[in-house]
Amino acid sequence: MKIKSLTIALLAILVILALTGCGQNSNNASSSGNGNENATNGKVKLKMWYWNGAISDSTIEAAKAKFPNIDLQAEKLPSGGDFLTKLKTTITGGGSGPDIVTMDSWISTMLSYNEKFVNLYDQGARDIQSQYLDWKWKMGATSDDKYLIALPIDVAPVVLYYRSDLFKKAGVASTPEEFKTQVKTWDDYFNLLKKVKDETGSQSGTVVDIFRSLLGQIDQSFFDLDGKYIGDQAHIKSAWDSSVKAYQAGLTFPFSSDSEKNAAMNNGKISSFSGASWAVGDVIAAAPDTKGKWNIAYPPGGVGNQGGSFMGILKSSKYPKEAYEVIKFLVSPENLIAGYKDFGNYPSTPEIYTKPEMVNENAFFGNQDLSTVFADAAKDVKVAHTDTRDDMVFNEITKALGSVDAQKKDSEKAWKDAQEQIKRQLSR
Amino acid sequence: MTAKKIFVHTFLLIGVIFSIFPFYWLAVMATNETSAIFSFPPKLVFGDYFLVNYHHVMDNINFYRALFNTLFIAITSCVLQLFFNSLTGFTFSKFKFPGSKVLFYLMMATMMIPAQMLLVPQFIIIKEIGWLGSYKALIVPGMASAFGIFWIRQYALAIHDDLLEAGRIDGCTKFGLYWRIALPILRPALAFLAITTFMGVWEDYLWPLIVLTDTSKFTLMLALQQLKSVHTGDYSMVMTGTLLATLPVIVFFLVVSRQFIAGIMEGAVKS
Amino acid sequence: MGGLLKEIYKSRTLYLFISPFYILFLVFSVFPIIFSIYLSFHKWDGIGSMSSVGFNNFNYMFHDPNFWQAMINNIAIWLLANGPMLVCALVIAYVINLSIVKFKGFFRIAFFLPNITAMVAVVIIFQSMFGNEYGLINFFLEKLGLDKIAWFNSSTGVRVVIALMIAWRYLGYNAIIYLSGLQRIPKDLYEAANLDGATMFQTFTKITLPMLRSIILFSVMMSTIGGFQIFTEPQVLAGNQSPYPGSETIVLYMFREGFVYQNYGYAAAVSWVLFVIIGLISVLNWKLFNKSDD
Repeated sequence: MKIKSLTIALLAILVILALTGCGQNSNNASSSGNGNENATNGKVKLKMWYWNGAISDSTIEAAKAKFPNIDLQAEKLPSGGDFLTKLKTTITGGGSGPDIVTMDSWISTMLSYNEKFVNLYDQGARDIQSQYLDWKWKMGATSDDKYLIALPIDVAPVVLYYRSDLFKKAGVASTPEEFKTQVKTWDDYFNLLKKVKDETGSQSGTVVDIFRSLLGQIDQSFFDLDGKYIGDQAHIKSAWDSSVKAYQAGLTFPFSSDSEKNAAMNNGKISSFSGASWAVGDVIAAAPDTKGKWNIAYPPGGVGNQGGSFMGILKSSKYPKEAYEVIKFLVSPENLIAGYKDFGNYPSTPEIYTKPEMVNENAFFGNQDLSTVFADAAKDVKVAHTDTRDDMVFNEITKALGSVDAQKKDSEKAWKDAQEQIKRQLSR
Repeated sequence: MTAKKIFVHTFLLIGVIFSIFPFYWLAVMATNETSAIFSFPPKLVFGDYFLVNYHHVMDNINFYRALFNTLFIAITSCVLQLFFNSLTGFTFSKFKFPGSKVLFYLMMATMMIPAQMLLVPQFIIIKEIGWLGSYKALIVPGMASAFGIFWIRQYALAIHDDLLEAGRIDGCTKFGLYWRIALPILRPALAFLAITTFMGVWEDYLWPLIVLTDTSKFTLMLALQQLKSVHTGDYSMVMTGTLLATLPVIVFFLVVSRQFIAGIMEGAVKS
Repeated sequence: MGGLLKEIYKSRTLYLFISPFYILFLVFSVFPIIFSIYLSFHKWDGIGSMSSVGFNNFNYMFHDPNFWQAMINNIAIWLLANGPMLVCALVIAYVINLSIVKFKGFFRIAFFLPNITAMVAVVIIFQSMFGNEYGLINFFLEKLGLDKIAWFNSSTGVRVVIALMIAWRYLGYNAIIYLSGLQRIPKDLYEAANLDGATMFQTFTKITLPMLRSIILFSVMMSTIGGFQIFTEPQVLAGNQSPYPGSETIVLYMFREGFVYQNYGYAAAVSWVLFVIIGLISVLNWKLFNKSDD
């Protein structure tokens, strides 16, 4: 009998937990709605979401020191797709999360919901606009440039990473200067690669890597300003054709996983690839055995952009003014230098590119000053109009490219099939 | 007889090698530099970088805090699930009452809904009842599970009706039948349930990612993901973190096996 | 009617016993389920407003070759992984349970180890093992004078890798399930069989299998449900985009449509079709393995 009443008590607790939990906690929720939480020691509480490598820890500490009246809670969340999933769910659930959020190159998908963010133009962002690279700035603004949802942090200019020893061995251009003057087009580059391959047996990145780099260099992408699909037109097809050509000439490393590519890099099977500024860390981590043999150069065919992040304020924030002051400070030119030193995030503020603090001589790259190449590349970036459906199109095309390589599918057929599939997807 | 013994043990050992190899390799990677992972042929012996990797992990995340959080959630969930699931599973296996079949099939059906689909609306519920960011959001929805109930029910089907009948004659209540007679017989089943529940909490990622709001409340899996930055990958640091995160599970497994399965022989004899 | 009410009143304790699951279900799942049914007839990007599209989502799905491809991949991976694995698990459990086996505890944990290794590590390990050029397995194949296998270049290769990953992770798990089933079989049954001079095979088929039936039903049901919800392994191995042939499963397809491409309405529709398929197969399983007790 005792045991029975014990169970009933337990179950009663469960029911109370499950049901009255609501009442009890909605009290909490409403009290926070009154702004009670901020009454604690008179400080303004700001919550910020970022990921490891977005903003330097020293910069965050500096911000805390600079704004003594603000209690800045910087939360480091898992990066990549997980961050986006959490942010989206939070916005769908009606905000009530962070005040300040960091955004990656997927910012374009957030632009369609600009009303969920604070318009930074209202907070006086026009005053600092001139400090930033114009193309980067515009990525955070609506196309009519009336609404700005985020300030730029870093840019990720794409440069050519190459093994100068292998290129030298093949007797072709091997210094950054020679590259800049002699290797202007992709065809120039492919010709060099051919010689390097014959001499050393090493290849470039995969067929998909080449396609991605080519794509980053055109000022049009898969959709035009009106949202009309143009991914089947000449500019994309020619990028496709060039990538396939490189593959057919045996210049590309077989399409496979990241760990394969890393191992290939460490074992001297990859002589060059075009990659964004953050790839510096990748190469160093993946290929320690090749230390001192790498260089970077202005890439063939002009520069592109891959990634680079932003910082914005959610509309649900109660203190947009204070939050704006904080992000303005975090992404100020002087503070971006710290991010560059810590993670290789290349700043989006051109005025500091020539500063002595920016000199970055890296032993892994034979003490070449990387900053000069990045600075060169960062200014010339062309930005194409982005669309929320870009991901889908890009995935279909890269899947098709992968099948050309891995399964020896006929390239024309693969192109046609991919386009058909994309159009069916878009027809919904 | 000995030939048979040798054969059986060899068979098991071969299986063990296949099972353990990836884990062994994980330990190897955790004691080497990242570059060892990408050299070819890969390194297959232990290195001496474990301490360096260990310090990298500790510098980057609050490992012990996350470990404590996860242990708290996992053990609480375990205790609650063992109780509620075994009670419900036992009831379904040994009693017929109006609607019992329908209720059982309804429960079975809930397992067939892909969990990803319910993520967003469940998040909204948690937010509405004000549990966002609290451990309640991780523990309460998982206090009873269709999986666990189904498992206990299947296991409890084999309990002899005579035993329960004898219990009834002795004046046991329905709960008494469960507590005094069924529970001891269910011990091995509970051991398995405890381990899977513990593991489930340990490995769960998407749900805690979405409902937890403070990094100080993060679970181990979230903390491990914090180690990764977008681009640069210190693989051996990640591997070390993973290795450290796996050890408590192994300890839990050993403890549970001992507690629950050791006494099984007596249980069997009694029945 | 009054009889039924009386029955219900008499069983009130039983209802109390089973109530926790249903209370939780009412609180946490009913609204999400209704919401996602509603969603499957709408177009929604996850943040903006919804628009009704009738049966369009379902119509599109049945005409999308990617959906059917995902279905084929899924069934292939499921069969490749689960059939052999369940049989092996049963054999291993049976062997471990033999009285002549020493170190039972060691074997139990050794086989269970894969299941408790975190996925983050599993991916890196499997990628390094099955790489086309630098994989450990191809390294050994070459050492033995055999040809390398291009695992990721054909759908069969990719499916085999994913199936192996699943089998590896769940072999010990299922063996533990069977082991706990075996342990409840009274020892005297075996002793009696031994006295009658039964062979090992005979005791296995005549005593072990029948006594294990309800547990086997459990494991088959769970691997069916799990098999159609395969998600983590291909996702971590190949990423959300599944660029490799043969790696895309239905839940992966659904997840990408919903969480990557923002077609939440469509993803909901896919999940309900998946629900129906799993339901049908589960009913089949149930009828097949559960002849006596229902």
